[in-house]
Amino acid sequence: MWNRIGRWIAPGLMTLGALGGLAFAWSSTLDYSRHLDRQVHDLRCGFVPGLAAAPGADEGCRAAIYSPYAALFRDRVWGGVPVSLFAVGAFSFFVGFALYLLLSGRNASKQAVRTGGLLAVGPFVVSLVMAYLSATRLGTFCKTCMGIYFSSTLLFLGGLLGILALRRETTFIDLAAADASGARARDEAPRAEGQAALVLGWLALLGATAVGPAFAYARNVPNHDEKIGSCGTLAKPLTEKSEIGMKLALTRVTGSGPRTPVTLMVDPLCPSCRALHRRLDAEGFLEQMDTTVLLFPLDSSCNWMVDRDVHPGACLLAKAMICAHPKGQAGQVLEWSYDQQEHLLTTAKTQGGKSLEGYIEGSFPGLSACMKEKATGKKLEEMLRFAVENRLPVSTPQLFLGELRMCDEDTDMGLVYSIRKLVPQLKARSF
Amino acid sequence: MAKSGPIIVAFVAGAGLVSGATLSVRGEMRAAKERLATGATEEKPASKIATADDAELGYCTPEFKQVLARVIHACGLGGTDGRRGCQPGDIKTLAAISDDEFNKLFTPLKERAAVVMFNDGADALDDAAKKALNERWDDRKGARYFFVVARASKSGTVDMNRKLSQRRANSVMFHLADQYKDPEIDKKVGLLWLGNEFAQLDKEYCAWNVTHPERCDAEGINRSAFVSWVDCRL
Repeated sequence: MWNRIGRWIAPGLMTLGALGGLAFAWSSTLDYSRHLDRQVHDLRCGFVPGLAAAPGADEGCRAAIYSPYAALFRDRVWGGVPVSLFAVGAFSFFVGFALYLLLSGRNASKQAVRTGGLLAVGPFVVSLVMAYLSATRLGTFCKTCMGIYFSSTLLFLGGLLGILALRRETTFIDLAAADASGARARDEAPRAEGQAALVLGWLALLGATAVGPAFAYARNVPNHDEKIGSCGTLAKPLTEKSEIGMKLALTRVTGSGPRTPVTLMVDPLCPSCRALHRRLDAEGFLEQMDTTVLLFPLDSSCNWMVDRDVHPGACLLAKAMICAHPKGQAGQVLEWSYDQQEHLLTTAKTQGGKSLEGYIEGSFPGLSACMKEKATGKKLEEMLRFAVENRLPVSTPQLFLGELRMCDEDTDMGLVYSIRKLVPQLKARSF
Repeated sequence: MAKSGPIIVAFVAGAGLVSGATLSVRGEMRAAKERLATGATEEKPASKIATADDAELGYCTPEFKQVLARVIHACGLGGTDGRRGCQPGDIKTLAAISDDEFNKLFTPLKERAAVVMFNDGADALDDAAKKALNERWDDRKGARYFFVVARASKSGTVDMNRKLSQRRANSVMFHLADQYKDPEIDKKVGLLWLGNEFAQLDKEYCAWNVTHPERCDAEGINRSAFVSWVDCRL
């Protein structure tokens, strides 16, 4: 049995795993590359790499693509170099290596089998780390990523089985050789040990195939520098004395150095606002920013600029933030809104504003009376009017570094690179 | 298979796959670069995003906006003139509409507006008037312009009543300026005084948001200033 495992099953698993990993990594890289035009595209994100995404099925992939964990060198290259591209190179190496083991059979040296098994640990460990980050930091999994994790696992299992079979083959052959029957010893000639120096060669080849495509990618990324910072400035910026907006500490960690003044225009029930907030936090930017939050709920009950309730209930949450601000709790209300976003939207849509008010009161007691006051509505109107005075787009989120409006295209994949260009003193957290 | 066969196959497969994948990615990047340069879109272009602007509600008919534009732009609003506002002749020659038709333009503002009443021959604001003005001013929502249409009743001469209604309009303006200290108030408030010459209100307007309903009658309703934010863009 172990002979069969060592001869066919182990290298077969490795080949399948490597091919699967290559396919998923290649599909993911193509999706990533498509976004270098600064547009939003449908993602071919699924368990069958390359097929069109089902509606809504790409949310996990989009969260992954825009996350800080999707690419390296994000401050040097717009969008960085996607991690999946390194996987493309690595899995290509493993396809070749696994095919070699499969076709060589017993002619493959022990060193080759052991090396293949040990090298296969690499993608498996990386997949474990990425799965952990997806679960704990993103709160979602993308299907293509899951395909890579599964393929890495197959590759690892194949490598492990190969090593186990090698040990049992050796034992069997030794026993057989010790047997007096000459025919048996001839049929199961032992594997050659192999040269230890070749291991270095394979490592070098793995490194070259993993890094080579990434190098080519970095050299060919389109130049975005002209577009960065080209989305206008505030005609009537906030001043130090301005009472519009709320200065908030949006992160528990406070940086020690001078902070960069930033204005963030958000809707508490806007998923893109939540995503930007989390990206800024994950990159370590929030703790370096002196943030003023302006509320712009996309809810027609308070915002005359929207003709329908894009995010019903957003006006109530905006007023809750305004009322919580004097108590120093506005940041908490915003975080809570982001965390509970799906539930809040569903409550507002299905049960109406009264239920939502009750839910807010349950989590933040003492705000409901203030939320009904005219003065609160007036403060919210002043924030909306800021958008009118500055002729801003009716959309959220919007990020202003000082007076400069960051283009929406630079707030996801290109966030770190763009901020580095516009405000070099803001440093992204290194991972 | 010869010993070198698997090595060759492995090498060719690995190199071929990595090269093929790299080239296809590079092709995708080249296409993205092209789209970046030309602005072409791969998929259906996204709908244009609106620009933040003042409110524009259904009552903003062309006739209404014609009157509003005249008051806001052509009567000294926002300029360097010391005296501001429009008088009856300005509206009568421009709007070319009857008194009733002029008043009907403001019907949709019944809930939004207030009618601030004055004593006979007077232009001072009492407490009820100030309260009503503050409430209306605070209820701005998405409006850009605050309309003040001051009148005088039939008693007295035309000239006297024209001046009286002008003083009433100015009283409103001075109160708002003093109360809110808005540096841009001149760009927001349009003043129109009609004396007793044009668009007199009839008694049914006493059902509106008036400051003294107890003394509101056919004469009293015209010792007033109609005030409201107007949700129209110009």
